[in-house]
Amino acid sequence: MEAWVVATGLIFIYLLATIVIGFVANRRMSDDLEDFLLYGRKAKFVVLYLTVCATYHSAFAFLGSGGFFYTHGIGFWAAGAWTVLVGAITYVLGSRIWALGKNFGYITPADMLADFYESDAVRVVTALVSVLFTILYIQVQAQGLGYILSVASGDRISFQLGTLILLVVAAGYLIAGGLRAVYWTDVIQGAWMYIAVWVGALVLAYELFGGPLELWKRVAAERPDLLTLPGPEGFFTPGMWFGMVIVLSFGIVFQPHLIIRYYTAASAKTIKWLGATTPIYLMTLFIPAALVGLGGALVMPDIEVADRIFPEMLFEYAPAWLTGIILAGATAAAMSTLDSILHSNMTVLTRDIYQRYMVTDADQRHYILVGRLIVVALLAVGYVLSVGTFEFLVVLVTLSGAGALQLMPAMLGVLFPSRRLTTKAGVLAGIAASMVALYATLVAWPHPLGLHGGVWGLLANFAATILVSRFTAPPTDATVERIHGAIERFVYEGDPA
Amino acid sequence: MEPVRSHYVPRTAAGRLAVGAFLGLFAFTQPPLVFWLANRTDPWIAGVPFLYAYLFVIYVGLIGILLWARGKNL
Repeated sequence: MEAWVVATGLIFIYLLATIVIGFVANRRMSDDLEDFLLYGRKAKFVVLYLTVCATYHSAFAFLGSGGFFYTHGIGFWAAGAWTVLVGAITYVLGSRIWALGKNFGYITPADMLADFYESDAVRVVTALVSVLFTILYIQVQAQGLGYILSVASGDRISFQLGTLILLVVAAGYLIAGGLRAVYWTDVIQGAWMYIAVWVGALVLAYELFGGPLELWKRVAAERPDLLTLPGPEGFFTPGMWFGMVIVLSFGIVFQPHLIIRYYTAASAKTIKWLGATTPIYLMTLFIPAALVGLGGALVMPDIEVADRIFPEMLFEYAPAWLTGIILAGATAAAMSTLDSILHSNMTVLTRDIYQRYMVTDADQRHYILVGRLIVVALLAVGYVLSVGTFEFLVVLVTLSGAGALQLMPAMLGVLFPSRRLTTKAGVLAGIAASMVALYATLVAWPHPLGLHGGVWGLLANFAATILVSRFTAPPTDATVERIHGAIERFVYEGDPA
Repeated sequence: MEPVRSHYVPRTAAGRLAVGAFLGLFAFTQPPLVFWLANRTDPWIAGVPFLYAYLFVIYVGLIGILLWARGKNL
């Protein structure tokens, strides 16, 4: 049997499995909005662990990271730093976000910020930032999916059709089973993608070089420029290194799909274990990615699109059945992030816009129906964005992370009590300043002075937030006491409710 | 209302130790230290170039601190 038939067939078997899971989840679902949007706030450790890891790592981890090692060399090992930082952020901030969600029934990031800052404007701006920047992420994942299916089928399935098929499947099981379906499929996807990357990289390393250590020796002998900073094209300057670590840690954690995951944990202990252990999965996934990228630079030095190095090597050097299994893992990586973003955007639009300002007193079934219709609309937007343009995956991820990163001053104002309070005017001024700075430093004059544009945005944001907060009215004493009091009790008295 | 005390500085000795150790070790993964101390291939450690091994050891150490903090119920 031809390799493309096996590879494409295995991906479709995998897709069928996710559809079945979506329908099983649908049968377990009640007509409760919190069940549909938040898995009833009862996610236990294993499920939460795999959904967080699978959501964090996306098409970018599977395709983009190999491409990055291929082009820029060992500098991409900075990825370990940002994934370890994600663990620490989850431990410290994630547990506080969980405690406030549990106390006050928050469902979205905007719920939390609008409650503390007593501002509808903060709610709307947070919702807009959340949705606008993560729509870029839908595009990244959908493009990754289109790529994978196109490569697996030897271009017999077009990039556009592949994107459409996989978007429809992800949206389908989300519509059917809500966050429960997303979590259950993420469990399979998280396990599958991890095993697939490792197995694929090791098979290639032994097949082509006689093992990982031999591979490293060959890289040192033939491409020593890949083994030091800033890399062959001078990309990993100190400013880019630091900037990527900040943007791809805080910037990803502050995206709504990860904050919503913190709300869904069954207990504070679950969140803290999550923080302490997720870096093990997240960081070690880049070890095989390095083998793929660096090994690829030796055996396929002239590939046209660096992101395709992993699938191209598999087709060239691995058996067909293994290629199929691994590309199904790549599909899992992209779909697990895509479904989570579709879900979070649906949640934000349903909860923060529709339920808040358009139809405020309907029953729960009405909002679930509206949420499902919003998923269909997001699917259409995501598809148009995906097939309309194409950019290098990591650039899009970085832009997306840089946007969500701008919620950081507002989040810290809620989650870290201090004598100097952040105000709603400060938050709005900070976000406005950061959007201007992001445009200037990511689009108009990318990364001035070698420092990542996302960090320039954050600096402008903090400056404006702090300055304006000094001269404007803080939240009322009652609100500060209620919310910061809850944080104080949670952190120092162990009282989540 | 009695103002809530700042949360930016941990109040327990174990908390200060965990935060200090994590941030101190993390600094070794960032510029300028990583560029000054580790931007080279020699000596090779366990069959991999120095920069790669250096960062790997620090990442494992950072995860160890997080696990220690969890074990201490911080």
